[in-house]
Amino acid sequence: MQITLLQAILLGFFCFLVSTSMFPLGWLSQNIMSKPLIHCAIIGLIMGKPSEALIIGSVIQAAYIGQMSIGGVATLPTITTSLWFALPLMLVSGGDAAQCLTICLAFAAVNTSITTFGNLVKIGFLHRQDALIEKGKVHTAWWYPVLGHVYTFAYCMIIVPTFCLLGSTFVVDFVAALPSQINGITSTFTGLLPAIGFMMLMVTMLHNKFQWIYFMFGFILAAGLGWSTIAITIIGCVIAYLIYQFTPKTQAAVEEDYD
Amino acid sequence: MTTNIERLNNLKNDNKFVNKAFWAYNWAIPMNFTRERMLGCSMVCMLARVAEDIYPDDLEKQKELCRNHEVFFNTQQGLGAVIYGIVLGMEVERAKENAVPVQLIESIKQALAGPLAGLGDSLIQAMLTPIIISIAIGMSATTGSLMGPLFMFAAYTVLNGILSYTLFKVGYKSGVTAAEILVSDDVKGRALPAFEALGITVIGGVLAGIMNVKTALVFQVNETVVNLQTDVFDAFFPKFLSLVVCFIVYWLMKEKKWSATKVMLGMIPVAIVGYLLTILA
Repeated sequence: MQITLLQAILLGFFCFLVSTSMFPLGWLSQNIMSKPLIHCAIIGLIMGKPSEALIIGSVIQAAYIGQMSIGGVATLPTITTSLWFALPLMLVSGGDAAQCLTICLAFAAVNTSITTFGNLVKIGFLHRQDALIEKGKVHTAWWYPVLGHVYTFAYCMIIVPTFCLLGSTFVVDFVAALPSQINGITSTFTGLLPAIGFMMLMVTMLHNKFQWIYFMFGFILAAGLGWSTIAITIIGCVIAYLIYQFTPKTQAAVEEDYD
Repeated sequence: MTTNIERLNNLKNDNKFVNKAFWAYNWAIPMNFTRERMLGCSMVCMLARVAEDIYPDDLEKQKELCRNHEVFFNTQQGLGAVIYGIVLGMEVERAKENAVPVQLIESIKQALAGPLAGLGDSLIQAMLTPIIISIAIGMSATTGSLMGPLFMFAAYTVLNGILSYTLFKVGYKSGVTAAEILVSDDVKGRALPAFEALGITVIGGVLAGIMNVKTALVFQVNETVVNLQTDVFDAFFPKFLSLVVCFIVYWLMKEKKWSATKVMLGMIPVAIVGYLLTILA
């Protein structure tokens, strides 16, 4: 049995819909739609083998039950794209969950690089949104960033149908042929990116150089002493309370120039 | 002027307005999540959606409303719904007489984001979701029944919907009320520096948690091999390089007036050369 062209295209298309995280109910369904069991159910329906897909899917889901996304970083290797060609290939060849996961994990590093590059494309659309706001096209700006998913559409519609039709041997050979530096460079670059967003924020919030002390204080508590954000917030509240109590009421008028 | 204040007061109890903002929040969250601003884009999208309702026929004010939120923001989106609500409430209040300082809204937003992220990740991602998934696996593991994923989808979506919508509305109401109290003359001058201190302290802590710039440089001193990252930086000042990168980016943006895009384009060759020369890892 082979994967048909129609099935391959449908797999690519539904992979795209799920990868946008917007299908079907936006944020309300975002987290649950990223779970392997849901992906396996849709893949099984497209392949006409929902039961077999869900039995394999349950094993994979059990392995991924603790998967979380903290600060936008997944705690386990991402398999959300690779599952869409690995599982169909297993369903037609009679493979099991272990074989399916092997292909998925082999592709995980490539998946990360694809996602990282996708972030760059999305950042382009993010800044285009800023430009639209400056031009006064506020109503268009509200939905415009969704167009960043054109990249998601392209990679899902290329990778998933291609790998589905070419078979598992091709996937393994493809991964082995990629230079190892690609993943390293993309993750180094991704590591630098938060500085832009945070420092844009600091440019907005800082009024005088003295306020860097608060920033350094929070930074050192987290980086040097390993404090959690909640603990830092409690300390921040204490500082804020002291400032509130010890700032003379007469300063109220002086503060008007803040706005 | 009176008409404008009356109109804005009516927005307090305008369910249609709140629902419009809530659905914009719902669709905007997965719309454009990037490492640069994370959920910052969703806040702009939500406000852009209702900008016309807050500042009808005043395009400059609408632009300013969105522009003020073009910064980094991240939290757990479910519990964080309360922050979106509070920001909306405070922005409506600010529209009245421009009495609520932008910095106050930003400080409150950032101060709440960190702790709610920690709490939300623990409660929703680490506790609620695995419980729902465990039940679903039990339904599908042996029989391959479709009931498992269907239950999983329905249970999570309904619970998440109730939680997010309730918190959003509570946030909106309290944002309006809080703004009214905070802008009163005897509180405003003292509350603003206090919230700024809180917000900036939390930002420092969150940044240290998210950023992790490392070096792979290794030196040989006599016969001892010294790893710059593990033997020097981690012992002396963990995440020192992250801080250095932040200061450079701040200097470029503040003093050299570089745009975010220009900084990002500059980072690409830095990442490539840095990685290949093992200066960055």
